[in-house]
Amino acid sequence: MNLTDGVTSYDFTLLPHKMTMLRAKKTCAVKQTYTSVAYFSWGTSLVGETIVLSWNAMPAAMWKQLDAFYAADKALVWDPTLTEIPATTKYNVIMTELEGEYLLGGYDEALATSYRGDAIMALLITGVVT
Amino acid sequence: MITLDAILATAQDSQTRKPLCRILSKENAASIPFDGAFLNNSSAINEQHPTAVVHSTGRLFVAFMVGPSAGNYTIRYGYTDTDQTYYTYVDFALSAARVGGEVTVCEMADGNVGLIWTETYAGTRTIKYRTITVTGTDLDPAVTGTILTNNTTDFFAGPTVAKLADDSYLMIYGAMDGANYNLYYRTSADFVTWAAAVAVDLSTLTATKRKANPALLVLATGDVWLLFDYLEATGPNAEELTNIYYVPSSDNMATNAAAVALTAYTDYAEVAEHPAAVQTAAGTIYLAFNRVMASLHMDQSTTGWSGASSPISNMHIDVAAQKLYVVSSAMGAGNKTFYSIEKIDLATWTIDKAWSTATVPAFSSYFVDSGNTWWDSYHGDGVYVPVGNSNGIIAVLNTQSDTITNYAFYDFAAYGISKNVTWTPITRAGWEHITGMTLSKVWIDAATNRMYVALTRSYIYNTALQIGYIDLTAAGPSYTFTNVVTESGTISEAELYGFSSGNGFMEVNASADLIIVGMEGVASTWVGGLRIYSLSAGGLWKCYKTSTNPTFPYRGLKRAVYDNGLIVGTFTYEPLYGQADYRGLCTIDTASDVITYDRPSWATVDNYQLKNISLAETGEYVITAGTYGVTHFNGATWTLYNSTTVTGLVPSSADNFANPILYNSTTDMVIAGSGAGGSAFNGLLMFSLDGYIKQSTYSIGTYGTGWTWSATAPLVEGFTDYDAALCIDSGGLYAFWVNKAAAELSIKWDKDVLSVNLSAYLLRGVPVERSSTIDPTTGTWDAELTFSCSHGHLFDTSNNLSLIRQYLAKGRKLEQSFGENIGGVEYWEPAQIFTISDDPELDYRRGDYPVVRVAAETPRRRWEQIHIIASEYYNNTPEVIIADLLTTHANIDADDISLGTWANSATIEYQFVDVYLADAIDMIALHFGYAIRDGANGTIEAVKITDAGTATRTYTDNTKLFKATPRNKYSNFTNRWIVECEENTFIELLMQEELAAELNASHRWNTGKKTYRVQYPDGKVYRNPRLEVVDSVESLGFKLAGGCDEKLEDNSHNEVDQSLWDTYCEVEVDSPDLTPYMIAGLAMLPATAIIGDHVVVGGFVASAGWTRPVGTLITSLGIMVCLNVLAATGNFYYRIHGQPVVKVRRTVQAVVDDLDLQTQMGGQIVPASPYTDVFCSSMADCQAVANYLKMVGMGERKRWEAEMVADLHNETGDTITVVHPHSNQTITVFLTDIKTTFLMPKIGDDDGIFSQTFEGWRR
Repeated sequence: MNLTDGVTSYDFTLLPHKMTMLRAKKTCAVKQTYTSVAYFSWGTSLVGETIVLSWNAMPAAMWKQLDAFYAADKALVWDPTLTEIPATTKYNVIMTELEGEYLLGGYDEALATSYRGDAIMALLITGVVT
Repeated sequence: MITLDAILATAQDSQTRKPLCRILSKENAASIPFDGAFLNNSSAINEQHPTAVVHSTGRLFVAFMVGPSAGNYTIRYGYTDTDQTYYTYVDFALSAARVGGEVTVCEMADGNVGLIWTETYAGTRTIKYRTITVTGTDLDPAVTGTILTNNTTDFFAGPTVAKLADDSYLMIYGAMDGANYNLYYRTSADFVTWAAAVAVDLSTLTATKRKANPALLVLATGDVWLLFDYLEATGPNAEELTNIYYVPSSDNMATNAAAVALTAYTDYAEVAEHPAAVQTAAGTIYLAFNRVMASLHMDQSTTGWSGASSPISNMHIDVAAQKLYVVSSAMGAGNKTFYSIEKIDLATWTIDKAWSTATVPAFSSYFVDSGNTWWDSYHGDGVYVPVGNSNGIIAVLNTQSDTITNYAFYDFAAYGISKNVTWTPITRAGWEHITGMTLSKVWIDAATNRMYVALTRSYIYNTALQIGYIDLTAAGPSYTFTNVVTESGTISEAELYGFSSGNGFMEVNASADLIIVGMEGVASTWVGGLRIYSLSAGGLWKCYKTSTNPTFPYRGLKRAVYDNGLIVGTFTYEPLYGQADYRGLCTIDTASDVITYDRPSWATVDNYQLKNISLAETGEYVITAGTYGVTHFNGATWTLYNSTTVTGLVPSSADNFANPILYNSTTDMVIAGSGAGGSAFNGLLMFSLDGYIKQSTYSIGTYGTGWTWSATAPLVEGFTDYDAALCIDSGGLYAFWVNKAAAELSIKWDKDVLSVNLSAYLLRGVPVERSSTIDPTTGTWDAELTFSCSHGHLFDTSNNLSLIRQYLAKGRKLEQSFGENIGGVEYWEPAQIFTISDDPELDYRRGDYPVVRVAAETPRRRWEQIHIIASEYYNNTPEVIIADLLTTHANIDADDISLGTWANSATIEYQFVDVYLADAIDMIALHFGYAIRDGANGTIEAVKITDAGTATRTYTDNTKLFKATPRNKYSNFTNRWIVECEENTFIELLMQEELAAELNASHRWNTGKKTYRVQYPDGKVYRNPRLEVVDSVESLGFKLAGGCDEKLEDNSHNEVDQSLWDTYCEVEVDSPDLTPYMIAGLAMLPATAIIGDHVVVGGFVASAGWTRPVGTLITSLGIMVCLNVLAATGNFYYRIHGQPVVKVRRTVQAVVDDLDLQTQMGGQIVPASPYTDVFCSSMADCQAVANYLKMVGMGERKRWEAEMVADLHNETGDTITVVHPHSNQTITVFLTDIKTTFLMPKIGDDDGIFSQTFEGWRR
């Protein structure tokens, strides 16, 4: 899994233990007519969905980098690879949320044993990288 | 019914829909020539040398040099997001005191950006490089260094850089090798290490001729083009003839083909320089270059020029609108006949509109037939253009309302112009009988809407100067002239003459509270004078003459300008009176009264022919100098502009500048009239104080068997807009260029984009609503579109960093379509055209995402704002008349009008006067029972309003129906309609007698019998005129001689021209001619001289005694006769009464009843107000309209409203059948209103819909 802002490319040192399924959702509506029913569909899309990734514990250095992306508030490209098999699709995302708490190591951001606990990162998908 | 694609049409029957909505934003006209937007509106610091590239990520990046700011320069690098919606800037400051020069950029092989620029310091020019990320960040460590240095005194051109197909880099620059001009290339594999310079093989060109401004183009094939400008020839005054050349290379410039010329300018008046190019497709290249011109010309041969000739007599600039208003009138011998007014757009140097005696509105032919429209005498301002006539009339053209108002100080009855200025001419005591004055000068102050008028009388015993103003906003018909300055008998007749007839000048300077009057001494020993009055008080503040100030020019000032306490003017050289050393330009310091002279440096003569003058900047002036040309003086330096110093400045090299001159501070341009009667060129010139006009121009190269190039055309609108850089992406061509406004250089940019799809910005959860409606009571059709967009901050027109801010700006054209996704394929209905009503509004509030709500209207709504003063007189069918109105007054292409043939089409006669276009169109349409709409794809169509139409769409069940409501909300109880009209033919009515005219005059002793023609005023017609003698001509002398005869003769019917009948009568006044008595009396005088005196004594003649003077007595008798004859003058005053003849048309009417409703209401008749239809001319016509009104009234009582699944077939004016939800009976509905709603829900919501709500008349 990777996030990049075009300058800094960051490979996640720890994959999230839980993540929203990357699955396009259908937009549709049903409305009763006087004697029948009308069905309107706008198809399925991932764009506009928010993907939530969560970690029970996250290395402080990883938090530092993700927090830098969060603070910069720039468009990012997300490679959602979860396994050794690279993802076939990358996404343009904006990090809308990054929350966590000090777990081990306190404020230290470099110490290998320093962690953030119950970290949650939300990525808004704004497009698919073609 | 809208015709749909067959598959889309079938899909309208389905209950399962995949609706689509598309909104395209488009330009109303072609993008090129670009008008452009500033990259930075607020900076007053110069920006120049733009260069731009589209990055492989989709970002656009641009770089340019900014400075000096506090003596320092900065490279400003800007980049956009990958969607190219907004700019972000990063500054790279040069070291202190370095002077920045050219900048060039390229995308590097690794996606970073390479920058190369020049900077000079302490005599050394350095060419440097820097590598940054596309988002403007230095690499770590920073990569920057020097490529080469040389001496600033050495010639240098460029540099330019490009990435080659093999991912190496090529830099080109120009430098000299001894006497030879070379273009050198250097290559690099890493943008850091650059190989030694190698001269490009330009052996087919002359080695010693300059090659400059190199530019590189790397084609998709990998071939490289090197473009540059080449100095072909140098003229005797160092003027240069340059053309654009290129050399192609297929091996990265290791070898290259021979240089090929891309432009072919052959003389110095127009040349090409500074090329740039971009490949937009495999066989298409856009070439841009600066077209450098000596001047822009305009005369009567220019498209749109109204006058038959084009001498320029008066002119002014509407600075805010950048429009030039030119008055053209004869400037040679004879009457100074008025020709025309031309409105010239200074941005495009084209004529927007012209006015003359033959246009609508038109000037009175009096301005052609009589009096003089003098030069340099009528100063316009803003939207007001005055045309004066020395006989005492001013026609003021208001270009905003497109109206001409005559302000007449006297009657011009023969031209239908009555005195309408309320004023009293000043006169000297005892000379009240001499009141006539000459209209000498006019000055309009648009800020106060005042027109100042100077009138003069130069009669030696009754001289006068009277200056006052008229309020231009006064409604009329009479206008008050408020005196400001009145001088009677205090100014010499010579001076006053030198203030009229195109002599002298007047300036009304509101900010200085002054009226400055310059009077020339134009002949003999006449002296001139300069008088300065208080504008607010009217008192004389200063008076300059040689008698009081010997250093003042003997013959006064010809023209002058007020400049911050100084009066700077031109004058006639005078070798006598101790003034032989006063030459050139005169400056009067009004504070100290010190007068100084500045002599042009470009010649050593006595008479520099200086005449008209315009203030350029404070302390700077542009002045016409006759056959010398035009000169600029900045208080220290004189510069001369003519066909010698600026080759090609005047057509035919006919330097002759005695006409008005203006300086346009917005563009730093000089505008001068050139030539007069007999000149090789009579017309208008615009040229730059920089010597040449520069405008980015382009040509499109197309590859067939070789490259062919289209005719050149302006790439940008301005004439100080140059040095364009081009780049291309899939969305269109970008251009960045330098705009020069006065001394400030700024970067402008624009994009040639055919259309922008806004669909991706449409907000989910907010509906797109498109509605149209027919108002059957007025025949008006209307439509609108509303929607909301995300990224409101980028559509904010005040956000200069946004690249898409203009796409939802007021006036932008929108093409909107609904459609369906059917089997993965998108199908669309024909587009509907809209115009954005207002700039989108949004709120910036912390925590709120900025969205914009957009309202767009049908283009025909603009017809409501197009005023028609007077159309042509129509006698044609409604389809033809409406098409003509639209093409004439709304500039709509005839191909975009398809009105068909109307069922009840018939010829109508009418002329529209003082009406708005929409009202005119609807009046016609309503008469025939139609409405005019903006149909599919913008075609203007007619739709029949009828309750008897054939159904175009049939719904046999209610499977699509959401809701249905029978209603009659627009109805009333009217059950009778009356339509009136006037018949076509006139009948005459003779009215009660009234005073028709008055006549007064005098008959002298020898007048005798005389016939006076009395014209009835204001074009009135009278019958049976009767003479009332209020004061008879009869005097004692006439009575003694037999009496007078006064009678009226009504003989106008003797005229062959029947239009003159009853327009006048004649009064014959027959007073005795006393000439014989006079002769007799006079004869007696010498005759009696020989009769001696007799001495009489006792009644006998004797030799001594009382003398009897018989001769003397008879002489006395003769004198008495003569005196009585001379005193026999009679004054008469007659009144002519007559019966006015009025032509009227008979009124007819038709009545139609709704008998059913009348019965239902118990026989009560509820009539509507009588409706007058101007197109009806008979009772049958009225009956047809009455039947229509009845149909409308009855239809409104039976409306049907329903909401159903959207059916893209339907449009207003259709007739459909539906099924009543309860009775299942068929209802036929004429659709007057339709609203289609497209609501795509937010992700996770299910409140979407694609529906249609309609209303109409049921039957």
